Amino acid sequence: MPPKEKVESTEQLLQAVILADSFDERFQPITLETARCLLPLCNVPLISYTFEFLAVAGVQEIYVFCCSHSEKVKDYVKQYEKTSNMKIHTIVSQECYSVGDAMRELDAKQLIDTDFILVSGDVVSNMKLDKVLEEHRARRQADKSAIMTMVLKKASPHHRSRAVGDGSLFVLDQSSKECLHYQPVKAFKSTRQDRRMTMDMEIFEKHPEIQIRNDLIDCQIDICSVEVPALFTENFDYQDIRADFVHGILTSDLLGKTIHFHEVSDVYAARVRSTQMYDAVSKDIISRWTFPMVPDSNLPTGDCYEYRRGLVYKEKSVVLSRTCVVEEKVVIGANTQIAENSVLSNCVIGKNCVIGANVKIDNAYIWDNVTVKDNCVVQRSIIANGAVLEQGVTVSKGCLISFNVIIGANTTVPPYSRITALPDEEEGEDELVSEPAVVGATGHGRSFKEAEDSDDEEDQVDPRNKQVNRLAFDMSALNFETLQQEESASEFESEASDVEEDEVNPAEELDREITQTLERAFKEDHDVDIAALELNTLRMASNSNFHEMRKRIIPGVLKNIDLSAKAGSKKTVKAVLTQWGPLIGKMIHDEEDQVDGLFILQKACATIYEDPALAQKIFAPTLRYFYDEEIAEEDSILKWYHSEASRDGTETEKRLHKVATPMIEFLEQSESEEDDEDEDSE
Amino acid sequence: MPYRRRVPEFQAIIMAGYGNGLYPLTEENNMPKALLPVVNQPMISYQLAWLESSGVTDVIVVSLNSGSKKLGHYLDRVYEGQLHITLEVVDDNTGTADALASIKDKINTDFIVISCDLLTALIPHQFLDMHRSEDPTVTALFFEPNKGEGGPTGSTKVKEVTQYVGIDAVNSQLIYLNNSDDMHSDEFSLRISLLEKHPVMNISRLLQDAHLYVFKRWVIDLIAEVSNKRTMASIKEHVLPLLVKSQHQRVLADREGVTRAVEAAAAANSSTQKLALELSTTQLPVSQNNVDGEWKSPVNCKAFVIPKEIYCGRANTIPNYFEINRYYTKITDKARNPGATSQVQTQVGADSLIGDDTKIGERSSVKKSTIGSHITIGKNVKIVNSIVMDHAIIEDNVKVEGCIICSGSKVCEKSMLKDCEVGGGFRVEKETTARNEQLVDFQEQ
Repeated sequence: MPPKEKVESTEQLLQAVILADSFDERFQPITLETARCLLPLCNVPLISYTFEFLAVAGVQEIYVFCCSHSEKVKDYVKQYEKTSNMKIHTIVSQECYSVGDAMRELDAKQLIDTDFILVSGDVVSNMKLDKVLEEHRARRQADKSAIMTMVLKKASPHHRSRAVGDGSLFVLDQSSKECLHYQPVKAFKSTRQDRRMTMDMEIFEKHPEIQIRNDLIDCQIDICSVEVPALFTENFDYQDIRADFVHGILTSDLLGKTIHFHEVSDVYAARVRSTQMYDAVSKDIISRWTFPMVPDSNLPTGDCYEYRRGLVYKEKSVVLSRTCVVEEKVVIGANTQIAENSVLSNCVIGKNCVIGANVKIDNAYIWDNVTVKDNCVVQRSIIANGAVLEQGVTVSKGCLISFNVIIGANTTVPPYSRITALPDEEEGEDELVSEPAVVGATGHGRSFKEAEDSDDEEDQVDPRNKQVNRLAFDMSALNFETLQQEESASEFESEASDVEEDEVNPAEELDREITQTLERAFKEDHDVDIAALELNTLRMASNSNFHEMRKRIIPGVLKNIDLSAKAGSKKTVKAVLTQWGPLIGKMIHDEEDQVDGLFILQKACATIYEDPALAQKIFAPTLRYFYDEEIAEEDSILKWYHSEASRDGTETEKRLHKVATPMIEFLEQSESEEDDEDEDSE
Repeated sequence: MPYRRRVPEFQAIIMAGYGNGLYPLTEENNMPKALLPVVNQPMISYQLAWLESSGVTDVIVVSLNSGSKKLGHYLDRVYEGQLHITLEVVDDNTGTADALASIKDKINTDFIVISCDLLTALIPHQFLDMHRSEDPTVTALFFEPNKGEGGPTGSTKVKEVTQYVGIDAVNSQLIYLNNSDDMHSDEFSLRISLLEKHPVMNISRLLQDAHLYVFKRWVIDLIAEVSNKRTMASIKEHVLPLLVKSQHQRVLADREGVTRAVEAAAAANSSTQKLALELSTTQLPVSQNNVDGEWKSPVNCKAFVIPKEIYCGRANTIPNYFEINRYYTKITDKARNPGATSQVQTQVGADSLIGDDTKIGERSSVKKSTIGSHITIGKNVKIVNSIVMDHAIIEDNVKVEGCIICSGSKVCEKSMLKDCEVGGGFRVEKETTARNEQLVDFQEQ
């Protein structure tokens, strides 16, 4: 009987799954000591915003998936559940490394038997989900293959709450509300693939009118049907819900499932995915975009914020000295004291903090129990619980100072530092070895190094793409000179890419790209590894080979040598070779490459300097360097020297060939000596 | 006060092409495309009326050599409107851009280009106002063709090319244009930089170019240049795509002379502009180009998409021509059967139209058809879903269904024609039974 079924479906329990872990390392080193979802956002743990959002949506039962710091999450959830009428279960799974793993686990445990809401534990939103749910259910009743509805929020591409570098392109069919194609967008687009949106032509057959959207914020709030976890189990290689799952479903002809979307425009929704987003969302909360989720609605029990003019939120127990200035957009937690002549603006200060006199805090997030002594300056940074800034400390923008770090007096913490007080386990330390260079003589803490990316990662990440979503990142983070270059380069790139690719000679394009990459590397003093990585990406993108790369890189490096440079300058033959020689080495692999490299070297030197005398000034040391560093081995050098081709060419080239003669003689001699030795030993 | 000639806002150019898709209706012995009747009125009269209502006064009709005499006759002797019409004749096998280039000297203002096969219920100012207010380089009209209800399919199967049209949903800028012929891959790909400038973009493969454009004056120089470079240069296939691409591709714009054409136009006009600014109390506009260093394209293309409820069609193929005739027959307010000399016991459906001086014999019936003037229809004739042009003779006991019978032709008795096109002056012998055929005189080329 159909009517009865309908009654049942409305009475069904509404369930939600929260993925408490984000499976990335953007908040390290702070997240080494606590769970991502417990980070305080305007003095309230992140996950409570998610709980509130779900409670408003009418969710009755929540499953919280967590792996790292699960005990802390469990404790918090228990405490929260007391004050809420939702049932909240915590599922701990240590083996989860991705959304995919969590979904498979969910499928294995068979906890879900109806459509559910899937969100991550860092969502802040005030949207109501009733319409979406209604739409989703109606669609499900009409068509069983509609397995998921994504909630997307409209905003301009450069909106503050849109994470830089986490953009996504959606191709939608507005008539059927179906999502047809999904593609992530990177901030820095180094390959042709990144620069283009590519989709299957077949889409047009079913959907003659499509819409391509680059103005949607994807908060990963999804209404999933029961099939979704099962599909993750079937496709055990799915990791990410967007890049793998959505993409996989949309491109698969076999599954025949569809994914739909729901567009919202006048509500707030954002995810605290990165430190940069932490900053943006905090400001949105203070500016009351997230109403009713604002500090003065006092979500956790015991809070008692008062909302004052100028977007200032203050607990009753705060002690403000008579001369301190609290400017706009400030949240101050309970029992915090602020001494004379301090100036606070655009910041959040936690509970039980002690702020000294003459302190300037701007755009910073200071958590609980932090002590900031007199004359400190803190800008655009996050300072975690229990940290101490001694007198006269300056914290520059973009810093993350983790739990219980002590910064010694009169220290200046450089921009974008990440400081932790945990011992470095990789180095096998049991106790913390403080780095006075970073935290000052009396400090306690060391700078935190990010774990190196494992090499087996399939797609190599442009390192710049990692930087862009850091706290306080802006273009000026690169110094002004490089900024200009960066911009002009990207402008040039985009323009160049504006020309239809098939009209550009690929060789020329590669030429230009390599020259740019090298110039950038030289100017900004990149690591050889990073430069090599970029060049390799270029090579793969342009479908080129190492020979082509060598042909461009060797002259590129040599051009950088300034023969008139004085010793000690970065431009001398020696300095350039020591710094950038390894880059050439990375382009040379076997003997054939080596010989080829030598030919290129000879030619390059001859083209850079017409005058043989000058050319040999670079050629000789470089050849020597090649030999010393085993970029070119003896055999190859001999092979090159004796080949016909090396003797031909322009006057300069011939001359260079002669220059090599003494070395060859030496090599041949030593070789024969070796041979002799061999014979002797036999 | 001295008499000052009013400077027209727009000049209009009607492109009266050959109508390849309408063969055999446009054969030499019938009439050129522009004169084919839609509800017993030459097609071109619709564009002329449309232009007249838009306020245009000067019209240039560009005709190919082959049909120019008949067309000239019509414009001189028959046309009764207020427009000042000039007929320009170009050689056969000339592309639309070439044709425009040849009358370059006669174009002094922004100009409207309209094809002689476009019939639309769109009120002109709706379309022209977009050009007036947004001041783009070109405004093009797009429409979604209505689905035909069946009828003669036309034995010449002209496959219509699917066009992929990308329009910015916010400011109706025409950003992307591609013909399926040009796309050989099975992947559809777009630059992301384009999507950053135009975050919401609608792409459709249903929309068709209505061949109605409003161009800025300087585009004629560009058209001339394009026409120099290629043979059979066409507005739709060469000029418009070039303009669309020039909005984003600086290199292309520079190379193909777009930038040069704009600058030349700006230089020619600068004197008055400068003077006006000097006399003006407002500040000089800060030139955008230099401030942010970003290249700003001098080209801006707009697309006007006709809402679905407003009729628009192009009579460029036999099915489309048929469909348009049927639609206009349905809505026309002409007298359905003015002669009424027809005998008793003839049936003329309410969805049909019969021209002046047409005689219909006893027991004949006409349904869903358009019958021209001076036609003699015999006894017991059935005409369904057809178009019969002037001066045709249909003898007794003929059955015609889904046919187009051109002027001066004769269908002898007891013939049964279904889905056929009968060429001009052709004689269908008696008792012919034909289906899906083109009945034309073989002509020596």
